[in-house]
Amino acid sequence: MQKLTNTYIHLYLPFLLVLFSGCASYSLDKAQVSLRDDFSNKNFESATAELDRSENEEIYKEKDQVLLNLERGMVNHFSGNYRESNQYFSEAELGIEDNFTRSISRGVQSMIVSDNSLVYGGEDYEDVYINVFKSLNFIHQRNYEAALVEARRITFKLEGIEARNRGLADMFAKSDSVAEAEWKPGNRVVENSALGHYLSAVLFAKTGQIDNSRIETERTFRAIDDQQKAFDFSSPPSKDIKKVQYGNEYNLLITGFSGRSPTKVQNDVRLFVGKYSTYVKLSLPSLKLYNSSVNRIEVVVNDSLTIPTFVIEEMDKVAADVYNVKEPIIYARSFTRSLIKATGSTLATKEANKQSEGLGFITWLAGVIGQEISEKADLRSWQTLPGKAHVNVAKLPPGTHNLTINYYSSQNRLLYSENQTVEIGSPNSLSLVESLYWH
Amino acid sequence: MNKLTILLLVCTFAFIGCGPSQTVNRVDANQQTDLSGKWNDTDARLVAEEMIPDALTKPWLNSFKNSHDNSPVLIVGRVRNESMEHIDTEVFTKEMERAFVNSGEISLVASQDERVDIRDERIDQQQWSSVETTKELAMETGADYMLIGNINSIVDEAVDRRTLAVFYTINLELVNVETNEKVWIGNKKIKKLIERRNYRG
Repeated sequence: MQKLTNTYIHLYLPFLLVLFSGCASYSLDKAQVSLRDDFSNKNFESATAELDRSENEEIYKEKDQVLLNLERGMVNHFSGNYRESNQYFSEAELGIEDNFTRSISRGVQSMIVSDNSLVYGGEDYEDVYINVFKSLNFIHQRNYEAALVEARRITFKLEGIEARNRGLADMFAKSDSVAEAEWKPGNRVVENSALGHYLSAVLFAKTGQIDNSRIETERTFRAIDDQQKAFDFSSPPSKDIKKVQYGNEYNLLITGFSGRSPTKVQNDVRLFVGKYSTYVKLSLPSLKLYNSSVNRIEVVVNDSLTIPTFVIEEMDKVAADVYNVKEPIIYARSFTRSLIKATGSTLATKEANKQSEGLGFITWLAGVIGQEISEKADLRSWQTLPGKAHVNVAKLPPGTHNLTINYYSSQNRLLYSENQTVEIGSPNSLSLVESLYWH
Repeated sequence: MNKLTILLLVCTFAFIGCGPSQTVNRVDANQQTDLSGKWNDTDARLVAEEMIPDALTKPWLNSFKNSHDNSPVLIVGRVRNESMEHIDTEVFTKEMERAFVNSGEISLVASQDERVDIRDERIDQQQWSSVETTKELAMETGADYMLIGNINSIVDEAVDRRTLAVFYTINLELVNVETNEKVWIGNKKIKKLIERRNYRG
């Protein structure tokens, strides 16, 4: 009897641990879907309530804090709570920095349980977008000095990413003995942000830092070039980009966001192999891009002047591109993990079979259930990140102006319209009009 | 490796993330606490410690005293943050103000932001305070010098992101309000080397 009890403890406790670790991840998937629904309806109150509920119910665990702060930062940004938004984005930024030091225990957990055990450390492009949105928050608050701090951080981070990409490219080039492929930075993954550079160029120009603005404008062109190499991206008019270097020629920055970030979906593969009907479950994520119906955004000032905007960055495609680079690693890890689980389950079944056939069957079944529940694709991603960024700058006379922001489809059909007022101060000031249509 | 060892290992890894809850200890305000490598109270203190004696011992003060009957009046202007961090420059400018006032050598007037509230109060007094206690309008002391400055930073990061060098340079200047003449320039440089670990438990 004592021997039987020991066998139960040794065999089933690890299964139970694995099983419960996997369950929690499904709640987060549901919470992400719910948040997306609220955000798409511009129901920011409900989105905030959903995030509060998820936090209170510990659906977002300690390892998901960066993700939670990214979502909270974005919801507060589009709700107009710029101070709060910056607090959450700052927390997310600190979290990303902190997660540079990888946790060994979590790494081991991810090999035993699932990738959901890993800390959500944030991607490089997410780290840059944090500063982009923080900068926009500070412009809304008319704190240009703080907005410039963020612009400098954008520049610094993007320089670092470029250096790392270049380093990686050099490494690949050296190790490529066949030397058929030309390893160039930027060809594989777009982690350069035209939006980030553009915003920095605007802020440097408006504060009289002409040379810095010129450099950032050049980098904007390079980032656009990178996007064109990586995916189908139509180049914005170069004269509109060059214009940002001359800070005295505009006092209004227009930013419109359309579309939404891609979602991750789970694809399960189930196999029974060998003499012992070893059960193997592979749970692999794949990325689904959202097809935005928006083709262009126009701003009509006081029912007379029409200002067009242009797409400076396709954030959804950047996210997809970064994911595609990581996909083989994710798949390899998933395959190794499934193999470990299946081998463990088979060994345990063999051991239990020595006691009795019934115990062997129960052990086998526990193995199947354990794998079924614990093996789960990591579907975590920044849900509230918009898909595309449209921008332009314009000069308006001082005073209050009524703006109508129109979103059109490729068939020129008006999809959405929004009215805003903007206060234009002194010629050297910078006002920001920002709009969102998450479709 | 027996089954019990495997079980123990699994449990250890499963619960290894559960660390103790936070603890709080009072420490000396001058204790150096570098947690993230970012600008902190120690840096602000180092700036104040360098700038205060420098400003109080340089020739401008004696030159002013020799040509005037009163001590110079200072106003704290804007110290621009041109770094990559959000830095509250008031932490060291307030420390400098305190040292200047306590030295008895320099007088200070309220800064641009501070005087708004005081002016409101004075205007309010004209209507609501007794005649004997009402303070007069247009009796403010004009400053002789304005303290201005900037903070710059240069950040250099290794490609692997493990090592980060941050160099701060803080410039403070005293400018004669009447003539725009710069009578004192103080500079403090701080360099930090931040090493990040690749792994933790």
